[in-house]
Amino acid sequence: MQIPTELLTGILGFVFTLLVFSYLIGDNPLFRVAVHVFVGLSAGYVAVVIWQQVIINKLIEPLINGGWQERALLLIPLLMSVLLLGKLSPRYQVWGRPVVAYLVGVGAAVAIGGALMGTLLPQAQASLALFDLSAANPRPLTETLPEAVFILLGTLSTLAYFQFSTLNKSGKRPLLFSILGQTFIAITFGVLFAGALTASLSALIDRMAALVQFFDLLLFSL
Amino acid sequence: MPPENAAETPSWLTGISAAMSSALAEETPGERPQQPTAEETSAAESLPDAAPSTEAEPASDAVFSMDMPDWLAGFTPSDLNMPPESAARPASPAAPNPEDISPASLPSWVQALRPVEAVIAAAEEDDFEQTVEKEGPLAGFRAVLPVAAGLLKIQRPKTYSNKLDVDNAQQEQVALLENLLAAETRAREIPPRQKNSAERPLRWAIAAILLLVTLIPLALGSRWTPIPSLAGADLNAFASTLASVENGAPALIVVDYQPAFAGEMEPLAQSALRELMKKQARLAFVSTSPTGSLMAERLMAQLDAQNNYPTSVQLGYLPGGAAGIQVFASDPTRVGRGSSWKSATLSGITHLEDFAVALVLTDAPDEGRLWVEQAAPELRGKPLLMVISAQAEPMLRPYFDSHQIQGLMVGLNHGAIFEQQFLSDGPVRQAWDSFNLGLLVMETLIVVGGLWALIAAWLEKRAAEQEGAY
Repeated sequence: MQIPTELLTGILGFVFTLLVFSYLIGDNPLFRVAVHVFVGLSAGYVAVVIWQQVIINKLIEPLINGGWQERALLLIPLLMSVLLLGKLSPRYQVWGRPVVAYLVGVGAAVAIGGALMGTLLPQAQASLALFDLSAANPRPLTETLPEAVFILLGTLSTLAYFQFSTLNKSGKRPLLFSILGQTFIAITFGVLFAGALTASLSALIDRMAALVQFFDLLLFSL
Repeated sequence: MPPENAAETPSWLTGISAAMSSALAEETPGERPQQPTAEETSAAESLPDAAPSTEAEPASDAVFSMDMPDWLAGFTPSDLNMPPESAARPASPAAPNPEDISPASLPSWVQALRPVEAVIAAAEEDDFEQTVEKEGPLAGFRAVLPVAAGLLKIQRPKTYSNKLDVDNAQQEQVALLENLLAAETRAREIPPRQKNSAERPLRWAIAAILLLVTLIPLALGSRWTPIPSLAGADLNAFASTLASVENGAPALIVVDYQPAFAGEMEPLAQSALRELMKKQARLAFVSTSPTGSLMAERLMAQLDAQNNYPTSVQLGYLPGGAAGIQVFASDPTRVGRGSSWKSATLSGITHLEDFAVALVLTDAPDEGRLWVEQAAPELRGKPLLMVISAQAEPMLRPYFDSHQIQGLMVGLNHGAIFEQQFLSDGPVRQAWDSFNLGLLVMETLIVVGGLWALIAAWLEKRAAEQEGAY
């Protein structure tokens, strides 16, 4: 008797969905089994992908079949990889420090440069463009100006909420502006929560749809 | 003894006096004691008269030798192995010869602890010669007791404190800084959560409601709720940009969503890719997530189950995060196998700007932000579109407002609007009723729960006030 692949995957999906839903009655061994299986499968798959697509395709295969120049250049990452393995041992972890320092330095440089040139400056420029009174602004000023004032107010009040400076002469902080910033932050968190809730509902619907399809398949196969 | 007292001397003492006289006559002049010095004289004057004199000791020996028994009379000092001088002076308080006493060898650490010598030396040089006794038996003498004179001048060496010289203001600042640092590392105490007996049944009830609300429309295959027809500027820009892609143009597809969000992302991605495939676009898939390759293959399997679509290629996993994206943006040919770049799908592509469009499918705002920051400048005017999860929208929408992204499709809401333009009953439409009912129920539960919390807080406060009044 040959079991169809769709039926087999449907049974597994149904079983694991029930295992995950068992968390409704609290943390239990069934839920933990499902979580451990997912974590193990993910780790195994990621290891296989990295071995094949990074180590084999980008290092070993070019070292074997590549030209002399390519091989010479690949010796550098090979050496750094070997040194990085020294981090596994307390005795030889010193060897891996220069490699880690190199990785952290490059990562920080790329991230900071990208954040500055790709986020901070373009966003500031776009916010300033809302105040543009020239004719080059395609949107009418009655539309852009309230939006610009709202963004400016939200930005300044949020920064005021997070300021940690000294008190003013009267011994008090600018409370009203801080409360306004707190309100903006609360609205932002609410929007983020609503987005996460919507995405979770979509995932729940997908699981329910999978269960319905499984039972359809089961009924039709019978 | 004066002679005038001889008559009163008893007979037994007379014999002794005669013997003493003969003994004195036998002494040589060299053995006679020297005349006492002035100091000795003055000291002797201060002593009582009954004190015996040392000059009479040899005579006493002579006297006692007469009455000694026979067995003792034969002994001489030499027989006792004693030096004559010590035998003659058995208990003299005079100072010993300094040459016979070897100096004590003190350890170095003991010498280091004795500042007395240095102080005494200085004191002797200055004040010892000037010290004159003013009272007591030594009154009038100069420099009689040098040690006492020096010790009276002893001062302890000056000590230096090892504490920092800080004032009160500095100490207060230090205390403030220490408090700040301690507060940073101190974990905030979480008050114990009060267990509510109705919590578990309430959880089950909410779960049952959500399950039923999402399950029933799917099981019934309902089409109760209509799909909105109005699209926002972001979705309109997305659709128009996608429509402007020429037939057979190369398109870069970035699959950066996790399998957990496949339920939301796959219907949206299918809608967008279906439009590109209608135009026979050359699709190149890449991912910065290790599971992205799997999701891309799954996506293409759903769209092209028979594997008939000729122009698609998997460039695979792109390691390195932001640095990997930058490397890929600067030189895409360094990613993937060499054979992939020789295929017809990627022919003529050497830079990122050679792609007609870049479409990023992601559920995480950070992944989308990295592609905007690192790859968008290298597109050099070519459109960057995004299909994103609803949870990533608040963080990625500003990039659309700043025109760094040319179009957005967000969540099932946008997916349904986009899909109905091309498909009457696509996968998003099939889930639309469940999605709408689920959202409605969740919003209702949140509102009811919020109201209930407010009422409960008000009741609790009122009860506390009544208890206080009593």
